[in-house]
Amino acid sequence: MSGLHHINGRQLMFIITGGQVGTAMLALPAILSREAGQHAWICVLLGAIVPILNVIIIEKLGSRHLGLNVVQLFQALLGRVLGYAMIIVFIIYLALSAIYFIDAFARLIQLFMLPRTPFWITVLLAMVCIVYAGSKGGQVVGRINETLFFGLVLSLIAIVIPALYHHDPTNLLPLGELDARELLRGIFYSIFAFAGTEILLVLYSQVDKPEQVKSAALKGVGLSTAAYLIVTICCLLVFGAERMVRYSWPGVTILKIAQVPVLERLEFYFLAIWVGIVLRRIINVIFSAALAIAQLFKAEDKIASIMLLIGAAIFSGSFISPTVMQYDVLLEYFSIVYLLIGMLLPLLLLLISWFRKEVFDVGA
Amino acid sequence: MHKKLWVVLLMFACFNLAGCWDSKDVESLAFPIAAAYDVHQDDPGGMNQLNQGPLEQPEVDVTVIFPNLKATARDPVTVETIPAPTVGYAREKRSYTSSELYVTGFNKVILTGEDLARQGLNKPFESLYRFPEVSTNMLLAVVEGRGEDILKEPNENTDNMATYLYALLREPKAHSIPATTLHEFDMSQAAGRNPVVPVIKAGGVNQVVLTGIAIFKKDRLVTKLNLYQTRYLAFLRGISTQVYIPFVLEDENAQGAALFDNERKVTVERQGDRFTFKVQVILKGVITEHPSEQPVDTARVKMIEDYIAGQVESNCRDMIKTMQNEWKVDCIDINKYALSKWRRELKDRVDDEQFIQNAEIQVETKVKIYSSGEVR
Amino acid sequence: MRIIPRKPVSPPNQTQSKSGGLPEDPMPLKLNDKNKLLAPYLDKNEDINKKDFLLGLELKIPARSVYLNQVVDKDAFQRHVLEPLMKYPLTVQEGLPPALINMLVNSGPSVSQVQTASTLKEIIHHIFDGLLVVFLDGYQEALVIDIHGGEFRTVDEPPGERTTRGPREGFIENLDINISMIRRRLRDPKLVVKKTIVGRRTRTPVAYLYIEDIASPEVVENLRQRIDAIDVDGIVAAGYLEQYLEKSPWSLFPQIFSSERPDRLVAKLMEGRVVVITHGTPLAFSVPTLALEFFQASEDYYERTVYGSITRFTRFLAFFLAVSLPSIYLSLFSFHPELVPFKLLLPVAQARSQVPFPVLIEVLIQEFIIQLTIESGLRLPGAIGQTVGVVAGIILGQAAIAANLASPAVIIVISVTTIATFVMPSSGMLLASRILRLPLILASGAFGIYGFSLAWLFIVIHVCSLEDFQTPYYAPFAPLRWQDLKDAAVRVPLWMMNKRPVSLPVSNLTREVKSEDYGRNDQ
Repeated sequence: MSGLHHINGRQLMFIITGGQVGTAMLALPAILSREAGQHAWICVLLGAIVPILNVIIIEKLGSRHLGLNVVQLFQALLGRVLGYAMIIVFIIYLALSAIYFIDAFARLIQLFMLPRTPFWITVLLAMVCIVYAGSKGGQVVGRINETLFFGLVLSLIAIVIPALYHHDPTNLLPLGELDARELLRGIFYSIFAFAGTEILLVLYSQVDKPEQVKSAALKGVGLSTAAYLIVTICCLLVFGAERMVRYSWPGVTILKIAQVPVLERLEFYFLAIWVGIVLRRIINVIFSAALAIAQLFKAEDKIASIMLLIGAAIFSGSFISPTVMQYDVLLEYFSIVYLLIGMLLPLLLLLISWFRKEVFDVGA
Repeated sequence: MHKKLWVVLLMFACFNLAGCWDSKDVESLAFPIAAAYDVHQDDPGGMNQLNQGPLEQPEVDVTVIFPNLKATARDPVTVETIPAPTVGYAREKRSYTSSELYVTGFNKVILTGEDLARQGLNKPFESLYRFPEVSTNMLLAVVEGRGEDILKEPNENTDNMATYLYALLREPKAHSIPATTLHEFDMSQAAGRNPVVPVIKAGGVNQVVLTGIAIFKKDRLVTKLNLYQTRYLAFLRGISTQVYIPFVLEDENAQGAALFDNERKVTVERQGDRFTFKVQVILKGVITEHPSEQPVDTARVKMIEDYIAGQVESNCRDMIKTMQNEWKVDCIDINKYALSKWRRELKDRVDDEQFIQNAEIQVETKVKIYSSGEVR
Repeated sequence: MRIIPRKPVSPPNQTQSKSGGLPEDPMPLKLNDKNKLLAPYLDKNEDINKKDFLLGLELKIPARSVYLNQVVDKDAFQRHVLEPLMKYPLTVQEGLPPALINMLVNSGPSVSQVQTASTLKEIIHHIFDGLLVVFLDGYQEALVIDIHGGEFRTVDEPPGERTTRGPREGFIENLDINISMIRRRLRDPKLVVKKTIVGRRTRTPVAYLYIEDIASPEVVENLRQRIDAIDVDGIVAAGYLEQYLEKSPWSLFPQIFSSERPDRLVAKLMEGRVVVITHGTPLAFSVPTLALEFFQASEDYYERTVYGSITRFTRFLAFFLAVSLPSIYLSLFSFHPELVPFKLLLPVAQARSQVPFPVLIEVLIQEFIIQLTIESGLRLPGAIGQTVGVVAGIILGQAAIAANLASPAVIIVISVTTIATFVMPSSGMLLASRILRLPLILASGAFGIYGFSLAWLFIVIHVCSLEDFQTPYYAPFAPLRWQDLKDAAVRVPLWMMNKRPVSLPVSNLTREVKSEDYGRNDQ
């Protein structure tokens, strides 16, 4: 295990949170309200079960194969060829996720901050930061996540402020009209917000104390869930489900109604902090992809070059940027892909690990 | 090797800094601080020449007031009216008359003419929700007449009319007319709710006077209430106010007054399809005038409380009757309580006229005077 | 990029000698032969004194003393070396006493430090290191006597680190006196002082100090190896040594903490750091270093907790303002004027309408002017420097506004920024904040708040990536170490700081044996 990419349990917790909370935080309340009305917050709570299961599965898998990195793990369980193919699929999935996230982020920046600046410039500037962060190694990525987590706390405080003064508790009622179908659809759509736990497959082998992985990752999911819950409840209290579905990003729109002395308009300051929060998610995903590639080619100390290459690839991919309206459609596909690759793949590997008596020799 | 690539990448990023596509220095901006939307009328300014295309029949007059930044400007503000097919489209027309870049994020007040309000305000307001720089904290007001007449009236006692309007329409100081923001107007169009907006007209020392409140059914103006009626609407709707309520000392035939804060509680029950709303109006305050030789003791306070409670309850009941029979719109925001219990069933019919007409609405008033000021 | 020459590191505990190419020939026995051998090295220098004398009362042995003028204490030479040697009780006997050198070392000159040397290389080095060398006819070994003298600056309050309540002593240029200042404050027998020589030509004495049972042996050894690996012509000042030792020389952030105050360095030693003192510089530095140290001042610990915490927090705020205020101004008035309160916006916009430059250029011009003012103030003598500050601050600002070169708002912004810059107690971080401001201004000037956020993110990433001597630079913020936050943005009472910083690699975390309530609850 390269010392360059060591992380501790606390950093893992923040990385998991950081890998989940991003643009979704701002759009999730509207998406869930569309499906489940005033029960959107319940969808958030129940949707958290998915990443929790994912964490448990990956932790079980990792603990059965201590010392193996993700590439070795795939090859040990699936064989050399199939393992190689599946790790490539996994890396491509991470890269496509990153493209999706950075496109969504750049669209938001384009709308709220820089409407005339070319889209690709916005993406390029963000990619420079992301590649720089990832090129420093896992230790530094862990530290960045630790630092930027407190930006998330500040953002949540900012979102709570308007809800304190402009809330209508009847917007959350009644609770007893839960519809199973609506709930399931809501949970399905919440999955895209919780996507990010799959990076644990890559990072498990980098944690210096493997016995801390489970509790750290579960705490990370808990923090993300709390963040989403706070945002969803605040948005429901202020807008109500019916009016909220009109907004693309109610998490930002809620800030427009706050009147704060001196600061005047809260949403721009929020967005200034939130840039770091979203980029943190993308850093985590791209770094995980880069680390997997580095492990594939046994070049973990060349992470900087790999980050540059993968950054260039993702930047190129961002040119096929969907429109804001297409994101809703892509969301469904993204959730399905996360279920297949992020959830089912680790489960499959765990099942193989349980039922196989031998594993392939990967020279670990 | 990768350090050289880093340098190249950073240099490339730095070259992009030459763009500054969104840079707009503050002195080159025209930022309207108040706007008025009216139904299109004759075009004395000749601005209709800006509308030339087949889809450019002007339907709305957009008047804005923005400060002049140049020290040599003759007037501190400029007021300009542009006719356009829609409010959003008027921004394009404005760029033909002004050398400065038009920025909408400073608008504090929007006035709408009464005619336009009766036609419906969602259409003119629609573009405001789409621009991120537009603040949803803008204060709204309906004008008896045309909004542009108010904006074009010079106000010599303050910086400009926009500043004065903003100060006037903000949170009520000692009256019952609420401040309605664009956000509240939008949220109040949810099922079971309807907005109310202050009404102003030209007059008075500062050229503008608050005359009451306008009741809307979703985005269309239904009726206007005078200042007296507004008070009881505020009580029933639960708008936090601080109002003076007069009372009569019947034994001395003298009139006094008390200052109250108000709140309300609403409960709803149903029997079959019959919904019964119980609205409890709670008034807490102090006696501000008691023209009597007799001191204010417990019995006296009880007498005053009962008198006020009776008056308020009676007026509230009258208002409810009018609301149900004439206006046929829930302007006191009680239907949302029914939705909070039976949302799935009621959400499609709660806004029907029959729903509010057939509801039974009971009013109870509780008055609590806790002080008589410095003297008894 | 210039590569610092490094030779293979030496095994531990081996005396480092930088030979500089001198032959290691043994000295001849005859005095004349010695003189001939030394002549090529000594005769061309006119500040080397040679005194021939006869050693012994009865048996008179020809001897010669050689020393650098004004480096050796003449008075001590005459009274404690020359006189005792000339009066040494040597009786006439057959041949020369074989153990004379040892006898002289033990009972000859009445000074504390006497040693011997027998090779040409050693003797030349000793002479030019400022030691007195005495040659005896018939003996290969020479006496080497340390009686340093010469003029040194007196101990005074350090000009860059004044305090109102702390000690007023600062380091001076003499290494031994500096070491003594630390010894007098830290009388721990476990305090270890190691000396070495750095620089082939300057042969600058460098000492590194550490407390044996607190400092990490790996850090000490790592430092020793790095110092020994420096193979250059000379180290003129401590700053040279810092630059050779720091791991990320291209970073804008200082990575080695230095101070002129012995009390601060004693505190560093007690936290488990290693302190390095260089002869010729009234400065010492310590490793490992945390970013946090550059925001700490001695006053924080000498004053009470509340005051110390407020001033500490103020410094963090000042750093943020020093780096960010012009960029925030630029972002607001060039990209996002909606964020500015209207009553503030209007007069600023009206004032700006007179200025012919865009906001970005206006800020850059004023920033450049203030940087010139600061630099000129540093070089000028006291009174003139203050005058320049007044002229620039008041008159230039007013004149710029009157000439429509700047608006009042930008003058205020730049002035507040400059004042905030000088709140930094450390010159290293002060310089960093002056430089960091510029890329932030450019980023904000191009992309508003987005550029500002990205630039700060870049800074955070960079700071997180700095690490040296097993210590992350940004600790205790990242990696997060809750215990160390007691002395970060605020400073908790001293009686609560009973553990050493866990961010540093130390051998012993406990500062003291904790007394339960320090008698606070006694009636």
